[in-house]
Amino acid sequence: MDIIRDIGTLGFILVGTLFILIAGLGILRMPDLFLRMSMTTKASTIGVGSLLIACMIYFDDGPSVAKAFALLIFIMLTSPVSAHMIGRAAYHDKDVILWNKTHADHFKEYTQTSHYLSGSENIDL
Amino acid sequence: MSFANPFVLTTFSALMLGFGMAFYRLLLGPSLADRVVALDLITSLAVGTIALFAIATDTEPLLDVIAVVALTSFLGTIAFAYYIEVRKT
Repeated sequence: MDIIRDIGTLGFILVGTLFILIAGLGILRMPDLFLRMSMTTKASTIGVGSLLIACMIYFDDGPSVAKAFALLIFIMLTSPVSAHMIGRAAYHDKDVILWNKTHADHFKEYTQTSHYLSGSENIDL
Repeated sequence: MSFANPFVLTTFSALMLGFGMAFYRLLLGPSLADRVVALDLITSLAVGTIALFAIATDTEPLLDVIAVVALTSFLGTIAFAYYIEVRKT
């Protein structure tokens, strides 16, 4: 049984590390903020998720598995939300320029003036 | 599973390589949003490293540390996104 546990742990560690390495390569080499974000969010979510699954297999008692599973759910829920927030904010940022080979830009007509965040009128940053 | 295991050493090296690439983007990033994305990736990598460290040293309580780091990373990213959205130019 110990051998099976070790093999499962090592397999999930291998998958997770590969995906994390892909995320690193993506953030280094992709030409555009949004392409970079698509790499890092997906790859790092799957990578960290498999490392946590490896934790669940390795610590095979009830409380540890429950804790690791709760963390997995938390990361799977929060990582896309934060990526969506950054992408939404960065699209109207003047410093962020799209890649010159971008095919589809569906929000061209959606200009800065019609962009409105409720509750931000009185904030002066 | 221990640090003497060459497989564990290799995975730690790969994670450190990822850290290096993310830090390079953090220094280089042309805009603030790039840096925020790089910081987000760095905290994800920290979570992965802590999970691997918990397995390598057989210390189960490190899972609590993962919870704290993940929560802080999420709140920090949301705060940065809000700042990018409402700042003037």
